Amino acid sequence: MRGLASLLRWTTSVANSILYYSIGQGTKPRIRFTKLPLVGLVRFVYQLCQEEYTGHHVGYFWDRLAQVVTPGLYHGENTGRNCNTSPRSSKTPRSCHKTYLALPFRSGSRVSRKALGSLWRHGPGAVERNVLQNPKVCARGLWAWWARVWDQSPPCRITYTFRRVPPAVRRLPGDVLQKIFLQLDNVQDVVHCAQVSQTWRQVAFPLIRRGPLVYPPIQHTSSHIFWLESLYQRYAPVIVQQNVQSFLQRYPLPGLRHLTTIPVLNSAGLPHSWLLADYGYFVRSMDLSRGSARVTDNTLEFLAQYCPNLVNLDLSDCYRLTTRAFQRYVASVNQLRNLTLDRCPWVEDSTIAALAQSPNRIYAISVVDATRMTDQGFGALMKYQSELRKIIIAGCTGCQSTALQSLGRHCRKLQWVDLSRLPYLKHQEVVQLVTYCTDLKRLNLAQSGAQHSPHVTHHSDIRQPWYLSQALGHPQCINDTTLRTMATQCPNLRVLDLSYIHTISNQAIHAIADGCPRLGSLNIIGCLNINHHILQTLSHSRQRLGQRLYVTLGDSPAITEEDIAHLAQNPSYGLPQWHRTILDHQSLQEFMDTQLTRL
Amino acid sequence: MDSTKNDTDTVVLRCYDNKEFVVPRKVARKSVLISNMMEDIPDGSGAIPIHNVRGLVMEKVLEYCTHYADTEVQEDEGDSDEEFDVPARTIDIKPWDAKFIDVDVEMLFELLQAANFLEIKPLLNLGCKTVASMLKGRTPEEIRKQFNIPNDFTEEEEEQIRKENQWAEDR
Repeated sequence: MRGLASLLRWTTSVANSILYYSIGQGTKPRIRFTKLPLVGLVRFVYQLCQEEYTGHHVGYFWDRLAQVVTPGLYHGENTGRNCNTSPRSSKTPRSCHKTYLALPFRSGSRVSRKALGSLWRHGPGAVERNVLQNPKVCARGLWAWWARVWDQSPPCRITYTFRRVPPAVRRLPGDVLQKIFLQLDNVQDVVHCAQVSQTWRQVAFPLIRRGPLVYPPIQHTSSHIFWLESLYQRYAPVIVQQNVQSFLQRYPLPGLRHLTTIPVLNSAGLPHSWLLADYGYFVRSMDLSRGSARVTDNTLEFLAQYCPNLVNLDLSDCYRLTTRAFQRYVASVNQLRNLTLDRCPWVEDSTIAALAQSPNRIYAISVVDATRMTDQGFGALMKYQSELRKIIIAGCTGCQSTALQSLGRHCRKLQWVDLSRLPYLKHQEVVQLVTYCTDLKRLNLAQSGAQHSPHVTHHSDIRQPWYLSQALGHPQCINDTTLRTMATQCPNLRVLDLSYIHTISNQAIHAIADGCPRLGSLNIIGCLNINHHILQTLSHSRQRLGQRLYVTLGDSPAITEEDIAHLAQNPSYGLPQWHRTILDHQSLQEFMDTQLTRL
Repeated sequence: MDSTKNDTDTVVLRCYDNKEFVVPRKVARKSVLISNMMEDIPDGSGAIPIHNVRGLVMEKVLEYCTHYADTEVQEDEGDSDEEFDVPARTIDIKPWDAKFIDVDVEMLFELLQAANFLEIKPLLNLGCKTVASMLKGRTPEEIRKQFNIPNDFTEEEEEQIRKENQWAEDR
């Protein structure tokens, strides 16, 4: 308490002296107490604590402090920077202490309770009149007086006249922040950013849901839930949840209670943790292939209602959906671009026709193994969706020549075409495709055209010359001429899969090696008419171009381990510089995926 | 040619704190905003006012523009492939850029703001990449500390956000 009093005394005397110094010796200033700089100073410091100032405004700080503490300077004519005296540099003459008396608490004197009480009643002048008050009123009086002084003293305009600058981080416009967050490719980093502050959260939240939502593996901690899991596999989620709830109401077993209190899935069979009801608007891509057992018609209805901006949707293996629900869904959304419907048994002509005529502009579609589809559905798709860039119709055995011929004619922007395992694929259709779609980057023809190519059962037949000539001479199947046309038409080809096409020979690969300089991956598994000499050609052509090429071989008696070893021993073949890896099927897939993203 | 004559000229830019910069037109044209203003304002009508940028920051921006005055802006390709391919995001920064952008946080954000205001796309991209690399793998608390951002969440809110995004953490 004593320390506080002495501090007060000290500040008062300093303020006195500064004020006196600034106004000038000799004239006794008459300033009302409430306008005195001490209150202003306290208020200023108080406001200072509330504000944040950045480093380069320290200069302003001292300017303003001087302005507050020495108001006289600023009220006179010389309002400007040249006359402001920083309080640190102002030297106080000693005589000031004695002459200046305008403050009620004379510097050096003790502040009495009585004096304070009288202050409250009669204002500052009462100190001299020595009005006595009782102590209780005095204390209250002191507080009331201080409150009055605080209110009446002109608010220091500092926070308003100041250029009040929050740090630049907080002035950053939202779109710049968004740009920054878009550079983060890990969702977890964006989540962390969302936890930083309110503004960041607002920007980051849509971006978190922008990334692909992949159906999580539903893990259960209790063995009871194993039973629930098996129920989910057999029945629709709504039914399971209703039944479990009624079951628990009837038999309130303690161990089963948490099944209903912590629902993992919502009524539509989608994970609760995605919070689609709240943030579904921001979701852009969703992969439901891993939760195929729980995706029902209800799910699609839910998506149509809560996720209208879905762009990428993967419904592979979702065997529980029906064509009707899908038709209704695609008619109600209009943002879909990429759709994957692999191995869905319910996909038929009317499904795809509804998709084609919906307001969605499809860029990429994948319908692997849709065996119920015929030319009619594909024809509609190609007719209405001319923007297609990627089409994967592997294993659609119902697809015949009419659809394939219209493919190139209607969709000229195609870049990625997968026609593998189509038994009716012919020379003519591939030629049409490559003539129209010159921007083709990936082409997969694996195991196609089996209907027209000669049936091969025994590998021992292969080396017989009569077989080769007969097979290559067949006019209908994919042959060397097809690939020669392709090489001239599609110079941008990066990935080519020709596995199990028996009717092409070394000449075809030769043409490809010359015509497609950017080819990065070539798959010739099981091509019986291609022998090991082609490796030499490929090696030379890639060395000349300075490019890397991944060739996948195997399952063919024409290229054996001995052949490759023989080539590798001969330095003129250039094989020693090639890396050779033997991979099983899965690691091969992964390897190709990583390599292809680089191409 | 008219344009070549213009390129040799200089233009005066006046910043927020009345600092003036005399820069060649070629350099000023790096900013979309200034080049638009140069077209609107007739020649010789005085300085172009740029209210939102401090002199200190402008100096830095002009250093960048001068360094890249002769190189053409190349657009980032691959936007069209994004629809069905995984976009290859690369955070690679050229050595000169890395040296240029090595400033304190306050300056970095002011640069970002200036680049956004003056519409200098490569500088904006550079800044965004730099900040993104600073954010990578940090916890929210670390980010707040580094960029001097006060935590304006209540505890319940914080807990809620954490819970809502649990799925992203688990992956």
